Order: sequence, then structure tokens, then C-alpha cells
Amino acid sequence: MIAYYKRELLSYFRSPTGWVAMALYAIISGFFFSSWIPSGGFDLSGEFVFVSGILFIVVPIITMRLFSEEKKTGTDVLMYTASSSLSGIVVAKYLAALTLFLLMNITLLIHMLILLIFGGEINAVTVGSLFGLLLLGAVFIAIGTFASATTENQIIAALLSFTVILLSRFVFIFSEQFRSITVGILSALNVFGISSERIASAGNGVRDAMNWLDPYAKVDDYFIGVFRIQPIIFCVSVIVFFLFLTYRLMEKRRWSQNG
Amino acid sequence: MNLLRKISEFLTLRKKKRFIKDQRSRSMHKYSILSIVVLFVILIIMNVLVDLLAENRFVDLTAQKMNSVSEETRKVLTDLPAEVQIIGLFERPDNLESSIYQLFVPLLDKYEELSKGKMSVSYYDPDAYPSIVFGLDPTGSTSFSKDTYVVKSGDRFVIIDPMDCLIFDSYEYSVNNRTVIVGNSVETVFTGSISYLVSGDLRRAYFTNGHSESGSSTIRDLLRYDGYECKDLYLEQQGGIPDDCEVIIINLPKSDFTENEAGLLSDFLSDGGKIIMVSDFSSYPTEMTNLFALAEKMRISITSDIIRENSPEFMLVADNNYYSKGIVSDAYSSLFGIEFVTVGESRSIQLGDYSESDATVRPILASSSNAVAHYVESNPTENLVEGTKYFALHSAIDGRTGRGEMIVLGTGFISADEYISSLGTNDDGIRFFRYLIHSLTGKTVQTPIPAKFLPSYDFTNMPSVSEQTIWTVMLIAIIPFVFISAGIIVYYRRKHK
Repeated sequence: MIAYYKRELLSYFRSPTGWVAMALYAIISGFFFSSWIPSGGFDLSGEFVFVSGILFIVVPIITMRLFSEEKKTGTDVLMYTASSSLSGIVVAKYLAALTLFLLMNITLLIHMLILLIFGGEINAVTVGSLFGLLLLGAVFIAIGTFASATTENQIIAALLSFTVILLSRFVFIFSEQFRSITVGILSALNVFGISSERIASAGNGVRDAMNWLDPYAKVDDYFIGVFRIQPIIFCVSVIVFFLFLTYRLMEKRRWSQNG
Repeated sequence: MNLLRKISEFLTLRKKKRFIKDQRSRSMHKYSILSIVVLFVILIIMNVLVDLLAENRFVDLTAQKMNSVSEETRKVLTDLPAEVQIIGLFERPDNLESSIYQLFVPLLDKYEELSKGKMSVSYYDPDAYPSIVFGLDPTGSTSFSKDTYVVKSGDRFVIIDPMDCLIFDSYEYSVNNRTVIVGNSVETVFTGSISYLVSGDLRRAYFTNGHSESGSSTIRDLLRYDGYECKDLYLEQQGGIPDDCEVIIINLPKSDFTENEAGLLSDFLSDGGKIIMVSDFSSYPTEMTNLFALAEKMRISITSDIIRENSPEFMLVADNNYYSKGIVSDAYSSLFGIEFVTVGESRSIQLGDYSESDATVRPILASSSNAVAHYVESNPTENLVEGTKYFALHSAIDGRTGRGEMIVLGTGFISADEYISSLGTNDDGIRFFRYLIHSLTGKTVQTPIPAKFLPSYDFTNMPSVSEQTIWTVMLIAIIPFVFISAGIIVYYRRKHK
């Protein structure tokens, strides 16, 4: 597993992908940071919130090639016959992508350092926001890993993870739409004479259930300096779930190969 | 025949193999789906359990505990003697991100939870539910604005404009015309309003009017949170002081009181009334003969001398001797827990020599022993004797039906809106002024809930323009360029391998 992790991590820097991702991340975050310098003060958590909003661009670049390239070049056969377990390989690839993401965030640590040089404020909100950003990144990389495993086309893999991550940014809007739709349908089909309050609460239930799945809402507390255990459990659950899905998908392919 | 048999055997074998493969594939497929479902269910259960077990467990890491409900509020909510409703006159906002309602909605939800059913929070858009307005005030005498909160208990209610709970950066507003929120007093206002509405010990404070008194809206709000009903007092028009009046506040009048008015106030003192009077140089050079004579009867002399602090350790600004830290006398300091308050441009309040009065006078707020007092229009001279000067004195006298008390302050720094707006409601001086009023009415109140301020993110070592340029170039050009170059080199090396 460690060998796979090393190989995967190094492969980022043996191809332009890792460098481009790091450059893109540095340009976008650097532009945001430097545009605030002349104002005489800067809350770095604002930058972390901003960067968390562009993960839908960054994460697909990191994850698109994880499995799809192997499948395209046919080297995936080596994975199925390798001495390492398939689950270990999935975790190794995920950790490699996560490590690259963490390396990209060194840019933000540089910003933090510059801020300290300027005598700016670094506090619990700043650190909490960085933690929230990293947690979101870890979740989205797991989703991207799964997306990469579903197809041999890197572009499709990138588009798939791009779409899922982008949609997750707007869960709160969709949930409201779904609430209205639910209320509308229940009201229209109300043959049992259900009271409007119950229909409204059913609509709210749908909305709340959807909002419960919103990763951005989950880590919101970290962005305001509140530490809770629930977001960590939620994010770890999502990561485990998507890595397991990836593993099952690869396992299915292995049967197909053997057959 | 042999060939046909072989073909037949081959086909049978293939069929068997396919059957075995299909069977294995189906069972593996089932296993796969089942394992995913089981994992999904386990994860959901785990999350739900954690949500339930750790629902109210969190650590507020902010310095000012911006996201927590204070102990004072918890006490008020758990001991609520009557039911309270909080009604937002707007639709409950769903997306709180980047909205001022993120300061209100979660906090009020928390209030509701802590009250254990004694308080409800609801939201009604008056355009969609016009009857809500009638429900709030059946008399129809109050106009309720949309986008405000109404806190109601029984027949009484308080209207809260969310914007009034926000604290803006006055410098940014005045210089750059930008509204930058630097803090909020949401908890102060809501908990204070609830305390006011459910208070079984409501006091009445009257603010004199009609003499160009200074704005007192902030101190009125703060007194309301302490359980006071604040009313206007037009002495001349009303022709007397209402029976329910417990304290009269004369806050920086710019014109003198009439003899009749001063007489009413004097009678009030004789009947055991309490008066707190603030008079600085904002009224100067108007002669405040009648008003100051009232103080003289209480053996307090309000002079036209300004206090100049000469002790550097008490000066607030290095080159300005007229802004300083006032020292709270031991008696009040031990009572209020406040040792110093900010004062400025203060009249010197002296012990009067009105021989007919048997009032007892004691100091409240004094300068250091190195201060002088000189006539406001003259420059300080070397002949002035340094000594302790008083910013505020308290006088008590046994009257006809009770013990009248009067407090006179020579500085408006702790009572007037214009000063409070720059010093902030968390300033010790404002708290001190509230405590002075409580000491007169004998009211005991819990510790005021301070406004919460966001940390300042201003740079203490502001970079020069050239430094800014260097950092900007470094961040958005050089660092990305290094990465891109590395990527290009890697690409070409791989291409030419």
C-alpha cells in the first residue's frame, strides 16, 4: 500500500497535473489574498471560505486520473493482480491525492505567515476555517476518486466530480426547491384531507433531510470558530462510503477480468 | 460423430461454466449491493447517534465567545416567570450565510431550546399574515415595521430592529462611507428585553425634557434591560412629577430650568425622591442658575472650572490633560467592582457651602491628587493648587417624607449618546452610570451582558506600497510561475523520452 501511495504521489509530479493544480491554486488564492492587502487588514478565514468555494475546479484536476488513466492504459490489470489488496490500493490512491491537496494548501500557510509579518490577526476562526477547508477537500477527493473509478475517460471523470461537487455547493437551494415541490405535490394529491400544517412539515422534512447531506453546511461551524465533533464524523463517513464504493467497483471489475 | 460429440461436450461445458460464472456473479453482485447498503445504514445510524448525543456539545473557540449563550442569558431563560413570544416580522430566512440573520436566527433558536417551552420563536411575514399585527397589539396603537422582531409577554411588548443590534465601524462609515460590522449586541438586546418584560420589579425612571437635553436613547435602552420603564418628563407641561417616579435623570440640559421646575424638583427631593444630574460644558455659557441652585441646596456646587489632570498615569491621551481616568471612590468601587471610568472635559464639582442645608455629601468620582481646576475660558496658571478634584458627588438629605438623594456629575462621557456611540456600550463608564441609578433606586440587577465585538484584523505593521507590490508579484506571479515551469519541464522531458 505504501509503495502504491509513493508511486501515485510521485506520479503527480512526474506529469504536469500536480504542478498545474498547484499553480492554479496558488494563483487563485494568491490573487484573493493580495487584493486585500491594501485594505490594511484581512480576515484569512474569508480566503478559506472563498477557496472552499472553488474546490469544484481544483479537486477534479487532482482526482480525474486516479483510476481512469490506469484503465485507459490497461495498467489496471496490474492492480488486480498486485500483491497489495484492492482496498489498500484504493486507500493509497486516495491518500496520494489528499497529500497533493495538503501540499497545495502550503500556499495558504504562506499567506498566514505573510499576515503575521504584517501584524494581522490569526485566531481560532482562522484555524477552524482552515480545518473546515481541509475537511471539505478530503470529502470531495473521495467523491472524485469514485468518479475516476467509474470511467476510463479522464475528462468524463473530471466532469462527473465537478458536477457533484458543484451541486453540493447549492444543496440549500435545491432543498428549498424540493420542499416546494413536495408541498405542491402533496397539496395537489391531497385526497385524504391532510392538514396544510402536516403537508408543510412534510415539505420541511424533505428540505431538512437534504440539508443534512450538505457538506458545506456541516462544516459551517468551523468557519465561525465553533468546534463540533459531528462534522468530522459526517465527513469521515462520506469518505469511507465513497472509498468503499470505489473498492466495490474495482472488485467487480476484478471478477470481470478473471471471468 | 466424434467431432460432434466433442462439440456437444464443449458447448455443455461452456454452458456449465457460464452457469457457474453467472451464479457466482449474481451472488457477488448481491453481496456487493448488500455490503454497500449495510455500510450506508451503519454510517447513517452512527451519524444520527452522534448528532443526538453531541447535539448541544461544542467548543466556542472565539475569544469573545461569539457563538455561545452567556450564563446570564441561561439564567434568565431557565427562570422565566412568564411565557414569552419572539415573533420575527418576516419569513424565516433559510440561507443565513452572509446575512445579518445568522446572528439572530440560531441564537433565538437556542433561546427557545433553553427556555424549555416557556418561550417560542416564530416568523410571520405581515404581508402574508396581516392578522399577526392585530394579534400583537389589539389596540392598534402601535405600528409594526416589517423585518423587525417583537418580543412579547402578556400585553407588553418590545420592538427590536435587527439593525439596532449591530455595531458598525464608525471610522469606516465616516471616512470611507462603508458599513462594516464590528460587533453585535444581539444577546444584550434580546435578553435585556425579555428581562424587562417579565420583570416583577419594574422601576420607573423619568428623563427630563424641554431643555435641549442630550440624547439618552442608549442609556434608556440599557436601563430598560435592567428592568426600568423610561419615560419623558415635561415638568412645565405636566405641572408635577408623577407618583410612580422613582428617579429623575437630568442628562446634559443646555438651558436652565424655570423656578417652578426647580421648585418641583426640590419638593421631589424633600419627599425622598432621587435625582441624577449630569452637567458638563455643553450648556456653557448659559447661566443655569435655577438648576445649579437646586444642587447648592444639596450642598453640591457645580462650577465653571474645568478639571485638568496633571498625572500622566491618569491621562488618556499624552498631550491632552482634559481626558483622563476618573478614580471611583472606595465605597462605590467595592459596590460596583469598577475602579476607573473614562471622563473628559469635566466641570469641577465641589462641596457647596450652603449652610442651611444639612445634606451629607460624599465623593463618587475624583481625579488624582495632581489635578487642577481652572476657569474654563482661561488658561491654567502656575498659581493653581494641585489636589484631588471631583467629577461626581453624591448628596443625601432627610426630607419631609423620606431621604432625598442627588448625584451630580460634571462629565457627560458616561451618559450621553454622542459619547457612548464612540466609547461603546461595553465601556465601564456606561455600566457605572447604570449602577449609580440602581444605587439610587435600590434595584439589584444581574451583571449586564456585554456587546460582542469581532476581533480586529487590521495590520499592525502596514506594508508600504512597494512592499505590497513585491508580495503581490510574489504570490500571483512568481510562485505560480515556478509551478508552471516545473510542469512544462516535466511535460517536455516525458515527451522526448
